[in-house]
Amino acid sequence: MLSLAAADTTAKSAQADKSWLTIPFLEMFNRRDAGPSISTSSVAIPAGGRSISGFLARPMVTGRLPAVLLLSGGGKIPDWLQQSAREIAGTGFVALAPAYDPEGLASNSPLVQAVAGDQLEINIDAALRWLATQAFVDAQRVGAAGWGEGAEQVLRLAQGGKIQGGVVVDAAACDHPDRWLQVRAVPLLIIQGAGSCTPAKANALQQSVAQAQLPHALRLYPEANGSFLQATAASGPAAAAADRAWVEIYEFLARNVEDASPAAVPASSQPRNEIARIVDIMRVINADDGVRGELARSLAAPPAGNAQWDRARSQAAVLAEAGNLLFERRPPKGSLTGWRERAAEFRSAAQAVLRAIEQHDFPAAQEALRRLPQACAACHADYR
Amino acid sequence: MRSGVSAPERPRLADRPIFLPALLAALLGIVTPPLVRAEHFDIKLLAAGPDGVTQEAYADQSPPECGLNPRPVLKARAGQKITMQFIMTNVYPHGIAKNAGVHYYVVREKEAGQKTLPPLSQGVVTEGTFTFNLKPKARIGAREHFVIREPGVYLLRVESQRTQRDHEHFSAIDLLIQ
Repeated sequence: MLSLAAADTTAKSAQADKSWLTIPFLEMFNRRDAGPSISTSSVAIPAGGRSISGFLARPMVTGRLPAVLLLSGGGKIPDWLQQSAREIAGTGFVALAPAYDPEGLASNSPLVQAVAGDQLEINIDAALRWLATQAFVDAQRVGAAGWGEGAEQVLRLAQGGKIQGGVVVDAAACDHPDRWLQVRAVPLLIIQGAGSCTPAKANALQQSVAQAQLPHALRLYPEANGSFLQATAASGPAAAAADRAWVEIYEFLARNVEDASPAAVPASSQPRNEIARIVDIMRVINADDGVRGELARSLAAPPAGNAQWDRARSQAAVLAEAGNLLFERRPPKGSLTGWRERAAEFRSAAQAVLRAIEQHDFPAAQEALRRLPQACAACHADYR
Repeated sequence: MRSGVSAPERPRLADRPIFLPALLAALLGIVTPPLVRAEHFDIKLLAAGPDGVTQEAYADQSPPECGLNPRPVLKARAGQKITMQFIMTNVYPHGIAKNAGVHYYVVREKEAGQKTLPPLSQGVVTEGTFTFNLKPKARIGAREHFVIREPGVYLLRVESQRTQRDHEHFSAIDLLIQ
């Protein structure tokens, strides 16, 4: 917002314009010529060989604006989300709400959900890509906000470093605190209405976030139900809570998305004392004779007992942690966003190994370990 | 609501208001946001000399106290009438800024573009404040004429107060009086 304001200020040089001086102040004050109109339209977004629909709202101004992807979790774009898109556009953002689940796959059986998960991610990634490549969008300043299932997708985008900031609403925030703690570099605003977040759980989560020095914020609204941000009530506690929550969201988006510097790492995520270089991490952790090699040897045969499983678990955990270390570093070349995406893929792959080991599932651990080099190869292709 | 427009005990370089006070404040809740910024307040500030030459400034934010944007400079001569007008708009479609305020003043400064705020204990040409509850998309504004009688550099600044956010907004123009 600062750069835009600077442009506005410097663009207006001194000019002999007596017009405003001759207009009575009250008449000028009451004019409704106060800014750009908001354009809304339905758009078709290419996604995996087909297309999904989306609702786009944007201020009609020149230049590249910050943008927000709105994910509601449903197969359609409800009226309240369209209204939210218009309102967010009124604060200076391009807002896109994609209908990323047109078949309602997310509400199907767990089996269908498992199969459909990839398709939903493809659709959302396609929507994000489409948004970031529009001529009126600044690709370096894109955030996301999600409700319910959409909140899970925002979390995934944040973990992958694909957005500059994420808002997650009604995502059972306190039930699975580890999810928020795994997102280290991309700030999150967690909005939670009445639900399972007891004060004790909320305090525990906030303390965990503070101890980990993460840039996240948790905002609880116990006086409102879980869908209070979708309600249209004009008064009452829920409406008041919704008002406060929306202001929090606007402020968060302004600070973390609109004010995001191109390719800047949030200050709170920068290692305060960065000692290991990327090459150091690669040698010690990922090389064949490093931790990854040791893990491969540990899993050459089924571990004989708990001690061997524990050792393998430690190796896998350090391997996954290396993903965090890489995530926070700057690549020697290429885009930071892409680097973070690759680092997150590596971390996810290592976490898959870790989960299998924790379950003492030897075949699954071997399979996950076999897949790990794919993440390495993809990153090397872009950054080595 | 208006809560005092001046601090008369302070020494002044000029009487205020010199000409027609033309000071007007109002609140409306029916306007659209004027700028495409995710600021909760936009402040459009105009200043013109007697020849009509106008300088415009838009909202910057503090901290830092003088923001990051360069300030426009309006040139005028000592004794000439200068007109200033500001309109501050609550851009957000949600939330009421309760007991918020707007503070405007003209005060002498050391040099144009200086990065620290001059104290308001001396050299004040004019000053005023408003206190209000600003509803979504509502706005408040004022127009005032004043005269500066001593040559020098002056700061014209309009700033939000008590908006209960982590930063405040302001617009500012340097006045170079010859």
